[in-house]
Amino acid sequence: MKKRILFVDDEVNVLQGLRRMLNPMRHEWDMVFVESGQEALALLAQAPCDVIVSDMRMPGMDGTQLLTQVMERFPLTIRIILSGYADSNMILKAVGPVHQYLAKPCDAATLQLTVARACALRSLLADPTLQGLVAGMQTLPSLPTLYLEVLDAIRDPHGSLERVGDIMSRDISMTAKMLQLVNSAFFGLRRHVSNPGEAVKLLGLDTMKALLLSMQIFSHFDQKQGGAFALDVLWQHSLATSTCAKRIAQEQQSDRHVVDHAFMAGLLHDVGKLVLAANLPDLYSATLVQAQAQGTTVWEAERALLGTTHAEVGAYLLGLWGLPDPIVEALAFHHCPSACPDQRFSPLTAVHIANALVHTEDSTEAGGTPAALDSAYVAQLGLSERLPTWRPQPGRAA
Amino acid sequence: MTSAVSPAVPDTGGGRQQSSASACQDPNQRVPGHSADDALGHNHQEATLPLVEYVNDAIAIVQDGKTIYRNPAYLRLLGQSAEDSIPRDFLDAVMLADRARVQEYVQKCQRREAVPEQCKMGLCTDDGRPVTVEMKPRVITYQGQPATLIVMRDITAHSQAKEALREAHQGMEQVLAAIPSILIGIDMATKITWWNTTAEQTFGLASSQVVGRPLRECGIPWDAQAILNALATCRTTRARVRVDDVRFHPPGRKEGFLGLSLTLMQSAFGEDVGILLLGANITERKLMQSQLAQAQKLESIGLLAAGIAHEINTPIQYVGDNMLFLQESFHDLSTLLEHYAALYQMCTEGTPTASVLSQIETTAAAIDVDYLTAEIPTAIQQSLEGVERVATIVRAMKEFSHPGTKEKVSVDLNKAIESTITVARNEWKYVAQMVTDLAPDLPLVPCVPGELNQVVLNILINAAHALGEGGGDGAPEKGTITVSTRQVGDGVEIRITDTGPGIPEAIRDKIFDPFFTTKEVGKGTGQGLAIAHTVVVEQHGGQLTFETAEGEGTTFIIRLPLTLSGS
Repeated sequence: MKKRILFVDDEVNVLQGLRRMLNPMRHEWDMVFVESGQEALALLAQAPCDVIVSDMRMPGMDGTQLLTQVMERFPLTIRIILSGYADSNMILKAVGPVHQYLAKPCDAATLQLTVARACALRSLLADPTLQGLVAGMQTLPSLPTLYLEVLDAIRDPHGSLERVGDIMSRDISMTAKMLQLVNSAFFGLRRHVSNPGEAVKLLGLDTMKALLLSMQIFSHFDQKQGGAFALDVLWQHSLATSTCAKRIAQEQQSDRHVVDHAFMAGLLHDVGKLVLAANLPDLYSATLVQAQAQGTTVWEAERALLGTTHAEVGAYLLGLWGLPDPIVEALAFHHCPSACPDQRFSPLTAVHIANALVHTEDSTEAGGTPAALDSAYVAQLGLSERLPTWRPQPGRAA
Repeated sequence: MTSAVSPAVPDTGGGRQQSSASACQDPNQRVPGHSADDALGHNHQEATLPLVEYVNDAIAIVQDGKTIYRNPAYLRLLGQSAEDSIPRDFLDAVMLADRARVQEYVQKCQRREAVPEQCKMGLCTDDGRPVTVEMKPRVITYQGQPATLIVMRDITAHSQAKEALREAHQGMEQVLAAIPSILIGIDMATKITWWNTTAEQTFGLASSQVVGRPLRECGIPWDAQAILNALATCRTTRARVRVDDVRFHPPGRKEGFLGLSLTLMQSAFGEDVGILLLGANITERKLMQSQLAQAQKLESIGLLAAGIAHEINTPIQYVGDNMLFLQESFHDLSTLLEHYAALYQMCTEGTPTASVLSQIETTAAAIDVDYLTAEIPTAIQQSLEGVERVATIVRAMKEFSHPGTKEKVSVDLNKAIESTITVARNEWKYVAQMVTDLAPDLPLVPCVPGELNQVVLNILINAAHALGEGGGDGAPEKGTITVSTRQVGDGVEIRITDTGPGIPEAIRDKIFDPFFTTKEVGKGTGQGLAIAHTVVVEQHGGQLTFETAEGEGTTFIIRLPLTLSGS
């Protein structure tokens, strides 16, 4: 089935240029071009779209206003901004409702790839309800202690970017959000960053203040709602996995990008659990209880009860947020690496092994049997002998 | 006073010795009595005027340290009464601290040694009041015995006044020293009479190095010619002269600027006594002013830069897209052309085969020739439009910024205004229709183009913001900004009208104030209109006014003279 893409720009010439440039995609995409937010909403009301690509500054309703309405009324639609405007106040307001941000002039390849990736994500998560839930997430809940600590650090008149970055690097949700901001062209950065600390330094203290205090891009997790889901346990597991994944990638002499991606994917690999626990607390708690009772892995119980897994949910969210492909891939396949089309050593390999090794070390995580190691996959990559050396030392979680 | 008394006072020396001697021969009958004229008046025989009794100076006769005669003024001075028993010790009335000195002084007088003409001393009255007097002793013969005539004048009030004056003077000195302004006094011979602490600090010259010396010889590290000119002007016009931007360069420090005012000083009798230079080092202030103006400029440039980036990025986006389309279209068409070339070849050589014809048909269908032939001309047309748009913006930016021109030159205001409207397009296009009504016969206007463009820009941006305020979220009606130019008399008028909400009554008299802003904190330096006012009024000798009606809109009116005036 053709994907339906909606383009919104107040400049007719831009729309016509896009239409001509994307003409080769006409067999895969059904493209619609409108000149205002009102027209776009009217059109969406008639027929849903998979992706909407909107200009930012338009008379009447601007891009943020339009995409906020789209988020509320048509949550399944993936929301992308394509703008040549550089006013940071306007961009800050877009951080919540916008999945990805492209800067004009945007070359054809980037635009095509971004839209195509967004379309491809659809196949990751079949259930439209979950798709809507994930696409509607503007913030992910953080560990309350880290959340308070980061607010404290940002309000401290003598606060330093290092401290703010350091705290964020330790939190799953903050890391994910910061990576969204720097991987998209929100602030015109769009470059590889090795950790959220670097992202913070690129954005600067003022922007960070605006993001945290005015835009409230972070929130904190309410453990009372969590039931069987314990964020602090997940957090410890994720930190340990990221450290271990980084070490594996380093020892495999990977290049810097692979090491960085392995580290970040390690921290984020279970972000789907957080999404599920925050959005469907009762259902997810029940899922964990069932996994425990039936002695299955968590993801098997998820599959049975929710029709999906936290791996897919997490990958879908980070894909929407435009995080680099190797990270999204590592998340999506971290339980079943053999299913990944790319069978070379990758951040996925590091995260899969690290996850399994950390799980065997501590099995305190709520629910079910720990994720198993895919021995065939490891053997095929010739890494079986190395496994014992990668076991995390006890008590060296972070 | 002394001269009025002295004829009645016996004198041991000088021309009146004769009569004094006779007067002193027999004064005792009435001393101590209520009248001393017989004792002391040289003419007590002929006149009964008891001079000694009536003078205001206190007079006493002392013999062997005892006061044996006191005139009424003495009694009044010391709060004694005639009935008090005498003789008393003269020194009893003298303040303890002064006694030794007074005694010595009197003794010296008696020995006819050289002494100061007068002796100042403190007395204590019988009722305990301190009194300061000047005392003049004279050695006389009284009742055949040597005695001392003591004449005393009460100078308490005088010395209090003097003390007060001294204190006031000292206070004034302190005030002057504390003034953080440069204070230099110059007499009519251009010698320095005053040089305060700030002057010392500013120029690195101590007061002792310059006071009393002619101004031009002091080596003051300033623009001496400018000062001398100002002094000359001050003298001839007899009015206060203000000189700004006097360069000075103190040793070991950075060059700076002084702002001085020169005032002619006159004595109580109206004669010129000198010139007072009062002023300050205005380097910091000038720096701040220029930084503030710069900050405002940067602010609007920053705003513009974001807008201009958008204005340029938009055409670049579609020009790029169209070029990519044209590239691919050409590639497709050249494939088709190849088939046509093959067909042509076959036609010239013999009969074309059916396969070539079908190839042409399939290719034409695959590449959608109809679509291409319809789209390509439009794509080229729109790309050219885009390139022209970028070129227009770049030209306007160049026009607008006028790098380097700081002088007044003849400017085509219409063109300048059009450029400014173009560079600011992104600021107004979302909220307003722009209407220009520019007089085609407008004469060239002498002005500093960069500065004037800034003024028009600031007013345009304010107009756009005024229109932007009205709209809520939905789709607010666009307002209108009208810019017109006209020649009016010997000047030109630029009117910039918006259909916004108007300026509220309460802030109308504040809008040209520096730092006044209606925008939220952190947005806008509040300098836009203040600087516009300075540029129009001070730099160009023009006027900047506005007309406004709440709910209807605002018109800013810039009037510029066509003739260059000195400024």
